[in-house]
Amino acid sequence: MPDRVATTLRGNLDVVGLGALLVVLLAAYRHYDSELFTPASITILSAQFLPLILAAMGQSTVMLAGGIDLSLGSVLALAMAVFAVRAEDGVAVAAVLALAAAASTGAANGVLVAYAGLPPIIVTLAASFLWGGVTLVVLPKPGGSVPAGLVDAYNNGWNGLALPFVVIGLVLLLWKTVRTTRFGLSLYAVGGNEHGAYASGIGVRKVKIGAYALAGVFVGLAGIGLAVQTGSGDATIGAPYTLNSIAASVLAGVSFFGGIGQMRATVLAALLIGLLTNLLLFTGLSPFYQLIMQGAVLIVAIAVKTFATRERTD
Amino acid sequence: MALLAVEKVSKSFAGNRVLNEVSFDVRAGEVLALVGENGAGKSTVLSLVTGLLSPDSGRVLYDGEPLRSWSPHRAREVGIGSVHQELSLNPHQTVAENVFLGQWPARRGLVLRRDLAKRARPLLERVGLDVDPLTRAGRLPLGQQQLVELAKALASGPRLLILDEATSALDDDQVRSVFAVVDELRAADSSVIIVSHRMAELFAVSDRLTVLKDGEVMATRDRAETDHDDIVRLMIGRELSDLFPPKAGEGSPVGAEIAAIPSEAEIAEEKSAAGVAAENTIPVLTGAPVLKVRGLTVPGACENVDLDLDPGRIIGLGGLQGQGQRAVLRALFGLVRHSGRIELDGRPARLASPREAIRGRIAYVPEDRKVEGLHVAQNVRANLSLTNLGVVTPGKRLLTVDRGAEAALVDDLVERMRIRVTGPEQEVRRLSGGNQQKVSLARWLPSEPRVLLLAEPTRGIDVGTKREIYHLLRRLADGGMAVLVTSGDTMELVGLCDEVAVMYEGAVVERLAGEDLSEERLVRASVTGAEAAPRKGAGTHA
Amino acid sequence: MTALPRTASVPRRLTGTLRENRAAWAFGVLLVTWIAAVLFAKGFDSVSSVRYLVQTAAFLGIVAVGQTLVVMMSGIDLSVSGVVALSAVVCAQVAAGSGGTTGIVVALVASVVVGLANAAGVTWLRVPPMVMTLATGTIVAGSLLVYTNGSPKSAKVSLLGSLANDRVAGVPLAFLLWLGITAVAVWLLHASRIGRYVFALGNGERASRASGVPLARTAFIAYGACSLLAGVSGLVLLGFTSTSSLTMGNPYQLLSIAAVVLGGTSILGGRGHVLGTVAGALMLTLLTALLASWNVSEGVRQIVLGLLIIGLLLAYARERRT
Repeated sequence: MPDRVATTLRGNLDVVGLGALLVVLLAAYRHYDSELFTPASITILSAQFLPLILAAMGQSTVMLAGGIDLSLGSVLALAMAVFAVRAEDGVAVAAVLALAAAASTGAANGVLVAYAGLPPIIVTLAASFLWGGVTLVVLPKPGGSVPAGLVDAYNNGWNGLALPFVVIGLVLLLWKTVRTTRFGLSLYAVGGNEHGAYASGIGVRKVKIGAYALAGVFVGLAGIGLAVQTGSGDATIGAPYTLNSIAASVLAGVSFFGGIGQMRATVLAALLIGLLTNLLLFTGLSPFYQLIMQGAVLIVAIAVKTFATRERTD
Repeated sequence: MALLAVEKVSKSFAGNRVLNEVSFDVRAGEVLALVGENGAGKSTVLSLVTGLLSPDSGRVLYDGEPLRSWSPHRAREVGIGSVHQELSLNPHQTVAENVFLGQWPARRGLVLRRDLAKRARPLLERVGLDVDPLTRAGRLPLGQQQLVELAKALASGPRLLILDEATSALDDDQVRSVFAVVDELRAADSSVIIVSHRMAELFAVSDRLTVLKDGEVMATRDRAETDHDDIVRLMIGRELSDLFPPKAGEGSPVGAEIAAIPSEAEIAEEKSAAGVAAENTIPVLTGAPVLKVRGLTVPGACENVDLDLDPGRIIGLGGLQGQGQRAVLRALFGLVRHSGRIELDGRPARLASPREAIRGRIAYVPEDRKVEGLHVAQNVRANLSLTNLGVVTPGKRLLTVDRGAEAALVDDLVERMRIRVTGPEQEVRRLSGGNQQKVSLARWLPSEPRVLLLAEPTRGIDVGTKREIYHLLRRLADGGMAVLVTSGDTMELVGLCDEVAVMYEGAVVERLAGEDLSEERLVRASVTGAEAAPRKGAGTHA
Repeated sequence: MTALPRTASVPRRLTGTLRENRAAWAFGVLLVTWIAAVLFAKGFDSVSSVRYLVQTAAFLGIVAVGQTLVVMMSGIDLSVSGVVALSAVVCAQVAAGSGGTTGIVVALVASVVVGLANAAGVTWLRVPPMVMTLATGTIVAGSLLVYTNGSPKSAKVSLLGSLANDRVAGVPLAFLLWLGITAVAVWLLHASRIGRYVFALGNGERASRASGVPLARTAFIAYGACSLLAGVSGLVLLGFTSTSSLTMGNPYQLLSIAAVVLGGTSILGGRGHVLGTVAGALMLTLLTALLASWNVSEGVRQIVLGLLIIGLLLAYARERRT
């Protein structure tokens, strides 16, 4: 039995490690903000963290299949813009349009990666110009408006329910389901050993396109969330999400080479980055130190992880 | 009626004809062995059947129907399962997930873990594998992974099973389980194509043998009508004399001062000189060993290995596959962490990185040319000069590479080593395996190493180049180099080496030299270790 | 027996070179674009327009030459945007107190330090280059915020002003500087021993290690040089605009990589030529200028630019290795 526990622990090293860190951070956070665990506080915080969490999930999906998405920020902004522009005519229609836009841009990225013989890093880099341009056409200047009622319900709770929190939970559930389908297993198989997957009869190209499209859905949701949180759209707001989503994924232990990683860890890592940023504000440290802290945390975390895994494999 | 018929199939890679009008067939309920040397085209023809490649001309019939728009996916659908030496498992997924890779049984679209494990168990039992289906595949030893691969091939209930060197990493018991599966399939009127370098296995299990050589079918024989010698003759195609050069102290060091592959005339001369050598023995170079190794230990790979590498001698590391031979070589070249005492020319040496080993004039020719030996995407010139930049960029030139000196160096090496290239700008990956190996060796020669380490120096190389390499190695030794070779080929070790240290489970269990160095003694020593220990080794299936 | 190098006929060798040499392709595409610009758009046929183009291309070009060194050894440097800003901001700040020359020296030293940190992280801590340079870039951006308290200074450094704006015999000095830097880079990458190491690393790290390539030294030179050049570009930009800002480097992060790849260098490393990067930088600057001359919105411009880049990549930058 202890053997079993040890194995489980080792298999979930990232989740356990990140979880432990998170507990420490939450304790520290509580020291500064005694109302941390009140519904109001949870609602506000989850609304604030939702875009990064979902964006990181999108990035992790692509990375699990052995790819990377540098156009993620542009796609996020596109979804945000589409939603903000159309929200007044009906929130549901706007949401569907925004998601469709994000998913199809993702699928287009996937097609280029799968069929064109271009490395993902360079395809998605070029695509980031393209989708950025589309976003500017949709919304040349910051604006658009999201119905005030929705903004209020989202940010301040709806009948005591933290909507963003629920959304994150639902998306995780969606992932969990996808993960147990043939597509989900293929995703890991392609990332882990692409040639082997192909030789075993898996449609590698379809899987890649699917992975990028699914990532598009996650990123689209992130964009919608951001629009609802801020009440309007802004075509230029997406850029930091590209790199932060990669940071969160890497921190979570998702391999650059594909096939390794857990979505739970990604969510925890994104949460960690968000909390850390807020915490720095509380400590009275100039907010200017935030970026320095983020960079340092990233380097230390990856270096520690690299050395830890090397000991295990040698 | 034939289940599979290959009809006049040809295939070329980059103008290199790999298959030339190959034809053979496999009947239902039959086991066909495909034999031939490395590079004879076995793997290529099998790739055509499994849909990884498509033929340039000719056709493949399955069940009487020509294969059209062929892919691994389609091949699996119609009941062709295959196990290759190169694993197609995903190391990060569980054994059960791997067994059903790409065709996971789903209920309402969902693949249930517990369900998967339950369904995987009987398949694992069938191949004699007792592991938890929920372990990650990458955690299993290589042999077990290969059995998982077999279970995976069986999962789709194949009518044709292809075993391409599928037993190379297996021990006796495991090989027996594989053959039990083969017999089962034959009894159920399914067919099997088997490729293996172990001749005894092929005779034990096959009904017919088809021999390939240089991309052509030499003959197909019923097992009852042929024997080992017949097949080998067909494989090699000709009797090759003087495959091995004379040993240390037996021949005359003709042209030993130049490290070059000898011409036919020179080989003949060496041979006649060896004839008189009986009376006129040349003294073996004696003296202190260049490299003295005591208690060399690489955790998990080899333990307490002692070796003395003398100038002028070729030492072999023998034994069954994977007994730590590779680790010894890699440690001596600073590629893996190790402990133990190493003396270079009588002075203690620390070999912590390849750079330090190279500085001590140690050279290493790895078995995996494409990963650790050469930069295959770069051209011959770049590969040959990379290890000799000190020669082609003298200090006074401010680190600028002297193109003229570089061209001269490359031309000289290409000529001395008889490397067949269209020019120095040809990419290494476009060369044949033999020529790649020559480049891999040639790049070290200008720095005049004192110790040369070679792993499987002739793997995947045609017999003509083999002979050239053997003679070159002897010349290098005669010129004062100490040579250490690992090889899975018993004949090679016996024919080439002056002494062979036999390894078993990471330790040297016997040293053979002179009269004692025979194939029989070598094989016995390799297996004696196996008998002494509870775990049985591979390579001795009866 | 011995196969002597066969000399291919000249025309065959020429077509072969063209097919193999993607850098040559880049110049071809540049030429076609330029001719198209002269024929179909207004204002591209004057000497002054060419002069302005090569002058503005120099800012991107200098960064991209550095990026080429890193990409060629299978690395990538995402911190160049931070370093461009770092060098300009630090120089402006220091110059205000202790004079232009000190400012320039301090700025360049600071830039190189970032590059050395990148190399240290990549080789010793084994952090993937993308993550490492991303992290140092973030740290640099944060440090600049702290250093300037959010409001960077303007500064007129006469040396930089003339470097960015003056001409010699009608040729912009900035362009000449870029060409000089390129010449050194061509030597470093294509004629020197270090260059051989860089190409070897780009074609396989394990084979390079086993061939005795000094991994750490090569990485320090490549990343150090890349950061130094990003710093130089920042200084020229400071001279050009006389102001510094915290975001002035941002466009160069992605554009420098795009210039390298459009110049025919493989993003996977080990294949390409520095001169191609010059064509790549000129091409991107020309395309941007061309699009700017159209009477369309910023969004449409970006879409066209993105499509053009993807089209060009599909035309000649596909990877043979997978």
